[in-house]
Amino acid sequence: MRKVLKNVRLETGFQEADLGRVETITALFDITVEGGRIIGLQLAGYAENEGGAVLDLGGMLALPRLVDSHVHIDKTYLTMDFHSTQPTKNIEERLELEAKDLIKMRDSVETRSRAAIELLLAKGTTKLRHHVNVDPYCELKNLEGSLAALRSFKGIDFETVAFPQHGLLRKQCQPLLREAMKMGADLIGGIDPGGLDKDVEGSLKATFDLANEFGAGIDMHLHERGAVGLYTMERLCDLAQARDMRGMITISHGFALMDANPAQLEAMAGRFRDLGIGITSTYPPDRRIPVEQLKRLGVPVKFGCDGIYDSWGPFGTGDVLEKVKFYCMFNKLSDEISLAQALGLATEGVTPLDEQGRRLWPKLGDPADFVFLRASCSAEVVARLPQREAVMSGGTMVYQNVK
Amino acid sequence: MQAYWLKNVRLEKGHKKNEGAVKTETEITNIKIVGDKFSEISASDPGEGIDCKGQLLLPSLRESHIHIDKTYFGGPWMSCAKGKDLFGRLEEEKTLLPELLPAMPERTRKIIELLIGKGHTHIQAQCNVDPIIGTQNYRCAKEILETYTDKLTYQLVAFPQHGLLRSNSLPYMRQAMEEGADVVGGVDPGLLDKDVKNSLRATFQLAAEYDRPVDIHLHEQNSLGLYSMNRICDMTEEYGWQGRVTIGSAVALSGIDPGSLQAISRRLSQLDITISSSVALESPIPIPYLDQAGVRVALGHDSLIDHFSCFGTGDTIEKLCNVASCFKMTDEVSLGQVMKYATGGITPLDADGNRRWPTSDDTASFMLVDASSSAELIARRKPITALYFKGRCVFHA
Repeated sequence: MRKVLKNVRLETGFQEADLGRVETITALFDITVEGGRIIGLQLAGYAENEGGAVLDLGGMLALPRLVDSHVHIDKTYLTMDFHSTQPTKNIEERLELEAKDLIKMRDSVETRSRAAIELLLAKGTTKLRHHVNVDPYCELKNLEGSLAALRSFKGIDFETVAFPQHGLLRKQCQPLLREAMKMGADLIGGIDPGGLDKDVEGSLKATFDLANEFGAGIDMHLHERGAVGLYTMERLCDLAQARDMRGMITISHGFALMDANPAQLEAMAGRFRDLGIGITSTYPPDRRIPVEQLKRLGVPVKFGCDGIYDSWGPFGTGDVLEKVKFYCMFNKLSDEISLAQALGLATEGVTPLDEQGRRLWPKLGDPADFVFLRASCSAEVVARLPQREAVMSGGTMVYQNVK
Repeated sequence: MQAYWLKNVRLEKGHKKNEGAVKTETEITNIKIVGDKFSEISASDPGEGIDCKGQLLLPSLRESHIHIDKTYFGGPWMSCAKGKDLFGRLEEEKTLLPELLPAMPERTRKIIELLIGKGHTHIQAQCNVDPIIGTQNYRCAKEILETYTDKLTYQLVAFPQHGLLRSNSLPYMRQAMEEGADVVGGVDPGLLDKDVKNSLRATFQLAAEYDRPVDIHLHEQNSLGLYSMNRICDMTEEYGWQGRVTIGSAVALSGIDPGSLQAISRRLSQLDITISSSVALESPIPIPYLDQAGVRVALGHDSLIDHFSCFGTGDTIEKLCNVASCFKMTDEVSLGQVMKYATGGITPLDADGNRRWPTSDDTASFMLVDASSSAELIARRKPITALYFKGRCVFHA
């Protein structure tokens, strides 16, 4: 059904302002949507009225859909009584505690996942890549529950990574991962081949074997710092090259990139670029990978929220834009263009304007995926994090703020 | 004198340990307020009263460093100009301060209202005093803050942003003191005034002359910052200003070697100097260490949105959450204790789980929150539902 979104604020350019500042210019548009796509885009008041529903957005700003590229929805404590984090001495103890949780919480996965998705949606996220535990404790329960939850939402696009949190070889998870792929997981996950599996080559090979068996991509958690982390990235690149998996691989976290010297970083980024390996960061304040350099060297970088309040930590807002704000704060990016461009970290690179202020989004034929906010421009949204007032996915309103 | 009961109020009672995990225990009880103080806690139904429906009672918050004058807050969005250093920003103020003055009353009011809605009943407000704007911002801030004295207490700092000596601001500072400014402000005696000794001397002289506390913003890095901090300690000692000096920002405390940190912490603690921080998460000053060394630490937002920066929220619960996250204080006790950085040291329970607050005779300035414990409030950023100042409700959601 055709519908017209009237009085939508879109960014049209940058202009110079006093004190050497830059301002964003916007204008009001009427956007015609049909079949989930944008079929008309005209200055407000000029759209031909050809019937169909009219929705007046009253001058609200439209931004591209937000994408959370790394989130765990299956383990959240949301909907449960408050749980702070029990201290542990090391990763093995932390995993033991999680294992107990996974067993205890097997039957509430769907309910808890739903709460996490609702939180993400209320922050404007309508596309997400979630890592779901697959291990001897929850087996495939977390996958079943989170998939059921995700499928019950209209307008949420998602990719599911089968994630052997407790170590692929360490807990011999290959048969479970194979089942998970058959049940609907899209990518093979992985974690610290050295730190957890204690077998960098063997763990990577097993991961790639599984991926190849299903023609699937890989998204691997790499927390390891320093030379081991960099070594693992090198071996991962070797395999990606040997198996011809261009554009199918993501490294999540990649903290070792913080420890690379400039020459190492440039060489590594060159390999990532050539192999189409993407980096996803959850941008913790104390482990800030060199996002700016990676982007400049041609590596796609995306952001995600990671855990939303689980046995690993009690924090998490589900707002991927907050990660972008932190990125700008920590790097002292407070000028209009830097703020506006940073938005791309939460939209898979889509920004309304490019650095020169040329219009890039939205275009005719684009999916009608929007976040609507009471704000004047992207830069304001990144710096001030206003409430998400309404969220549209594929031409349908999937969230409206009632507060 | 008013006297009434708050019924069905949740109070933290202790810590319950279970296989290594700690949970906060609470009780639903009733608490009587007489005048501006708590008077008694009683489990038996007092009859008439305000039903708090199980909301948790917690001490109200203090905003310890916020510029309330040259703000864009409440006005149209403005980002910052790119690539300017401190001197570039100061240059901007030459045209900006007079331009912003007409909008200041409304915007200052909006900041104060925001802070009240976020649970604050005390504000240490910073206000430019300099040759560009004279004491006009100060007067405007004072006039507005005075209209809120039924909702909060405040201290207004006369702040020589352009450098006390560098910009010849001393006469204006003196004028602000004559007009009743509560605190003598100061800023980077080396970086800006290029004369650490004389800048600090002039600051403390003024403070002594008018018998006012001192609040110096110190953005100087590493060894210079540490040097200035030590000279502030010297002056504090010389003037007998123990307990009356605050150092804001104090970025030099971040990333210094353990020996120097220990030495300066000892001095700050002995001289009862407060460190106020806006907590730069990417290079935070070692707040838990300072606290354990006996240094008073207070939190402030510094700025909400102005020509220096555009990221401030005024939400101290969020700031506490960031402190906890930054220092990996994720267990129940650590999370609960984080609260003290925003309350002037008050927490309902001490680290051993003994109830410390509220007691009868404590001033009844508190908030009601929709949370099961301080730990949950901070980790999950739960909403504040009501704020009371000296026994009277000043905000409810």
